[in-house]
Amino acid sequence: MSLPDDRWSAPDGKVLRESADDRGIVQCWEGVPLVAVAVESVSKVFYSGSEAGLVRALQDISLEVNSGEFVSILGPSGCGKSTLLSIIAGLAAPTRGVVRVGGRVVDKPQTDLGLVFQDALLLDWRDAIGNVMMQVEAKKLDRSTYQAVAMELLESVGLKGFENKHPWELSGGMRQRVSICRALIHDPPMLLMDEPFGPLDALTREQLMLDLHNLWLERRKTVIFVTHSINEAVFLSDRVVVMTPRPGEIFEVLEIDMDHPRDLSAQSSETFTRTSARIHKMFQSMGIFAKG
Amino acid sequence: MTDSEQRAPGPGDVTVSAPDPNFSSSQGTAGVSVGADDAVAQELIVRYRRRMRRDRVAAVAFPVLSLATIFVAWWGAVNFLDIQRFILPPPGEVLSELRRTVASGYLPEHFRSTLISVILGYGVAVAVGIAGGIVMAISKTVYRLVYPPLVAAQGVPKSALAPLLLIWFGLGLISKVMIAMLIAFFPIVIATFHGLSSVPPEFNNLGKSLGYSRVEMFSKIQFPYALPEIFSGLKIGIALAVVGAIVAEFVAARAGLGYVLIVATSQLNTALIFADLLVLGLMGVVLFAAIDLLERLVVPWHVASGRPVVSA
Repeated sequence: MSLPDDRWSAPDGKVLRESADDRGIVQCWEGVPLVAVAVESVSKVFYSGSEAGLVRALQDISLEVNSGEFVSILGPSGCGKSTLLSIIAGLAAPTRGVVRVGGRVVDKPQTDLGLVFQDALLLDWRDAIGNVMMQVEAKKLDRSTYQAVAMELLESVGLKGFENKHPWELSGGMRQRVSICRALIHDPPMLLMDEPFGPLDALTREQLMLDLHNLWLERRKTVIFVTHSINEAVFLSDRVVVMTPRPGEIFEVLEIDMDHPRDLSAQSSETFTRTSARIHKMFQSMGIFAKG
Repeated sequence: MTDSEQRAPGPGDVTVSAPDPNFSSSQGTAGVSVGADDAVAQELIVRYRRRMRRDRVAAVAFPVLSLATIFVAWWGAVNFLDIQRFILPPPGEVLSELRRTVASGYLPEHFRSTLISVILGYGVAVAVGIAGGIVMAISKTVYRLVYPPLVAAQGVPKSALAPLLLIWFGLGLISKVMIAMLIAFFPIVIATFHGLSSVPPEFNNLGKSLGYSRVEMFSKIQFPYALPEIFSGLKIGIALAVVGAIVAEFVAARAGLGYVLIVATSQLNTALIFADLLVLGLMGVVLFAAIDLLERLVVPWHVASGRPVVSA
């Protein structure tokens, strides 16, 4: 299966912010959403010695992510969700199937998107702004222009005054904010995030979740967000892709029908609790939770 | 100090207790509750500074004290236990022997000879060790070819090679440099290889997503990441290079502080032995301090990230 050309970009390169739904986030052309990523029948198999045997990480995954959409990939540990993200980023090759980003087949590491990993992966010998500027230096963009952009970005995530602090002088949450700025400074159309709030404490997670939501509304990026937190997935997403344990298959794709912008009170809304309960039930049916 | 009512209870303990434990835990590691007023803050800062000052003084005073104790004990032992001079000369005699041999230019000349061997041997060890560590980290084939024999060779004490090198290279500089090099090389090559290999694989993905070439990956992430560990190898190496040069001078030289030790021993000039050891110790300390200083300049992030948090 392959998408027709007019699903990837609007004719004449024009992209209209005309929306298919009331929320006005997804980019559309003549009422049909544009596609940012198409995952087509992707499977991934690992072999790591006879003891573990053959590991079927991903099994026949097909998924389309619309341009400007926030999609979460939610699943238990080891369900291959991070593997899926690496395949989309071009950091790993699928065993079978193909991934297209913007119509092109992904066959090498993608450098025009923003990646945020579970660990902030900051370089200790660079200060906060120096870490953000890594992206600018790698792409040989104009330093002085982007210096200002970097400052603005850091300020927008509440790190004004911390530009010249080094990673060891920052808290875990601050480090991850710097890492998010590094992923955004070249203004990529898409952000791939692999459990970015994983190692943080609960309150910091919640704060960063809110910040990410606002950042997304402001900048209209396509976001693919890998998480094992039902809460984060439901709060942040337009759609949640629920995956099964190994071999990772798509169990169900849920539309989250809640208005934007969302604030923390959305977590007690009826839609939110109902959807969370549904996902819990799905995990229970997969045997993730013990009955009780 | 300031208003005593604002002080926290407990001697020396100035952590301000928050009224509600749940509340204070949500404040993270700040240690001061939101309600702490200026007087308490002032008190904390004063105490913190005093503690820091005391630490700095103690860091200098205590080693001076222990050294002084050793000298006094030495002096006392020689005078009151009636120890023969050629077994243990009193500190004063060692100092006058030191002054005499330094003034005559005897010790400085041998000092220079040893220093040159150490620096040359160490220099080669650093160049070959770092280059070797890099090549092993890059190529698994080279690693397999080189690493096991290297570890096996480590089983032979380097100083035991001195007689062999004497036959090959004769008396003098080359033998000394070779031994110093061989003995300093191992910790440097291992530290370099290990440091470069211990970069978390996630950084590799980061580099790829930034579009780094292999060279950029190495120069921008891998090598700086390994620098703190390389420096720990360099520091062990400099101490060993001095050992290597001295051992070589015992066997295969006509000059150097190690050679002076042999000569002084044959003359039962124990004061000269001690004077020589003092100079040797000084050389070791200065060389080590130089590498330590270099580390502070090159790897400030490592030194700073290891800075202790002193809580008042």
